[in-house]
Amino acid sequence: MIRGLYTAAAGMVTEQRRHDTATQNIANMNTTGYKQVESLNHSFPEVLISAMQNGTTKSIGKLNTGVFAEQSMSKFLQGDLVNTTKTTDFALSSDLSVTDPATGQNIVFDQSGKYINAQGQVTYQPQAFFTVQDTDGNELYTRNGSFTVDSTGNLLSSAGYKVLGANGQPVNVGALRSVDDLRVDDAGRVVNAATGTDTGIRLGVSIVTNPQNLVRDGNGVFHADDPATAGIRYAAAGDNVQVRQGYIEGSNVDVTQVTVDLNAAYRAYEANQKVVQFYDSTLDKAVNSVGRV
Amino acid sequence: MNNSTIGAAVTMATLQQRLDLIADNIANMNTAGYKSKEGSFEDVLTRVQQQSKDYDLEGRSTPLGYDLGFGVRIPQITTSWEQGAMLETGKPSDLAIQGGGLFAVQVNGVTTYTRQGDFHFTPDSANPDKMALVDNTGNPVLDSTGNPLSVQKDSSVAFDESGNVWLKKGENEPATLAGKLMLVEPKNENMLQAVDGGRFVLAGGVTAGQAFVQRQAGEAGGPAIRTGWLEQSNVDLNKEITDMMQVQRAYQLAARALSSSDAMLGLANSMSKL
Repeated sequence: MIRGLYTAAAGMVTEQRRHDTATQNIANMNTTGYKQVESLNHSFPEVLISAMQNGTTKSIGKLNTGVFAEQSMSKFLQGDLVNTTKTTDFALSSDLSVTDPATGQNIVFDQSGKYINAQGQVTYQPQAFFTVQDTDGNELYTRNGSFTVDSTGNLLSSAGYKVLGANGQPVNVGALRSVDDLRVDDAGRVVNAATGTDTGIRLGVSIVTNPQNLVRDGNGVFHADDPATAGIRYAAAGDNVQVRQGYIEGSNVDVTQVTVDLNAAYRAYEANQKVVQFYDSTLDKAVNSVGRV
Repeated sequence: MNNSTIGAAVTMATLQQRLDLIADNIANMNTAGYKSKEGSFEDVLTRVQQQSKDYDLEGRSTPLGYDLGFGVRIPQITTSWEQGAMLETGKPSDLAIQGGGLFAVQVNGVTTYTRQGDFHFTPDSANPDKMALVDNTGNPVLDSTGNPLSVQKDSSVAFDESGNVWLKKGENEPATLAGKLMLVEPKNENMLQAVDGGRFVLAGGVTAGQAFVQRQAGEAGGPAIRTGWLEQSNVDLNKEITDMMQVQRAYQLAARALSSSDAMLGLANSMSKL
């Protein structure tokens, strides 16, 4: 009986996490390049329970003892492109394809950007990111292309990270006469608008083959604990990725869904709380009423 | 305090800040030469809750750890340098800049830069037979050598497109060149820092040589001066009102999340009947 009390308590903790996630999504409904987070719950692994009697044990069956918030998954769907006309604003628009090794055909991804084959294996659609570098030299990935140029000509992300070029070096446009002369084509090549010449600089657009391997850091950036597993490479010719200058990518938060999540988490929390109260009143009876004459 | 309470509270404070920017812009929608301010959002640093190896169950697609966010913030406030609409005033000392240029005005000995060109002439206190060009608060406007612009009294003054100052004594006399206005063209807006009165100063550690485009004499494509016109504020009221509505709704939703997490705390509080 007490076991159920803990199950309900675990349910409350889990719904609290789901509520936190919904709040985070609501907070970022207008954040540039933000990707909605989804909280996934998982039941505790089943345990086998057994009865011990007279020194022998007999298996009774399986038991689940509750639920926990297992993972928070980012929904890497394309956000809306918003026109800003600023020469240092960039957005990525990507629709990358993967060849299914079994059929040799391109995989058709569903609305949420994943594909499950007949064997139940999940393949996520690869995603493109701008590559930025923090002060310790770590590579980070972001969809927030609201950049600025500092006094030495370095292209910086809005959080102050250096934007990397396709050669892995920070992009420096100090050679241009003014920021107004900055032109970037669809492939991310920096062109001098005044002279029309290619500067040889190219924005480093990273393609992450397994985007779910990225870890969210906040400040709009992600990092990969293990770049090899995540499958990170720079975009090459033939990849369906476009850099759009003068646009930023809006948040992909679906407000309706998030509001429903918020209410659902609240009510599920309430239901679990009621179960705790029922257990409490049952215990009350057992402790105080049983045996009363 | 639980995570969603903090997240919602941080978000509401940030949205308030965004609303302040909108209010500032709307208040200055009729200020000549005003440049609207913008702030974009960024999610606040995420804490990853560590999970032990036991959590690495089959079917998991993300690395170990569970993300917790703490709302949203405005990382930096940027200025929009879009050209404002031109208004004809007919006053010969009202100057507007077409293109990405700035006038230089000396305020308390410091050179500041502005696009507000509602200038006028006053008697030059240092030189009785000259008159000085000053801005709307009486600060001297600088010429291309970096000194306050001052010209001969009792003459008519005209400015041409590139900022040259022409003097004419009488109706039939030829115009003489009397100087040139300083007109700078910033390479990049981040080299300037906004101060009060619609003026900008060089950001810390930046020299004028680094901050401004050096053009050859007679080179085309630079900013141009239009005499008898004033540049209006570049605030787009439609955009501001739309942003305001968006902020208000976002604030409402954040407030809802806050009251919902408060109600959850209430539920936790009322679990025990003791």
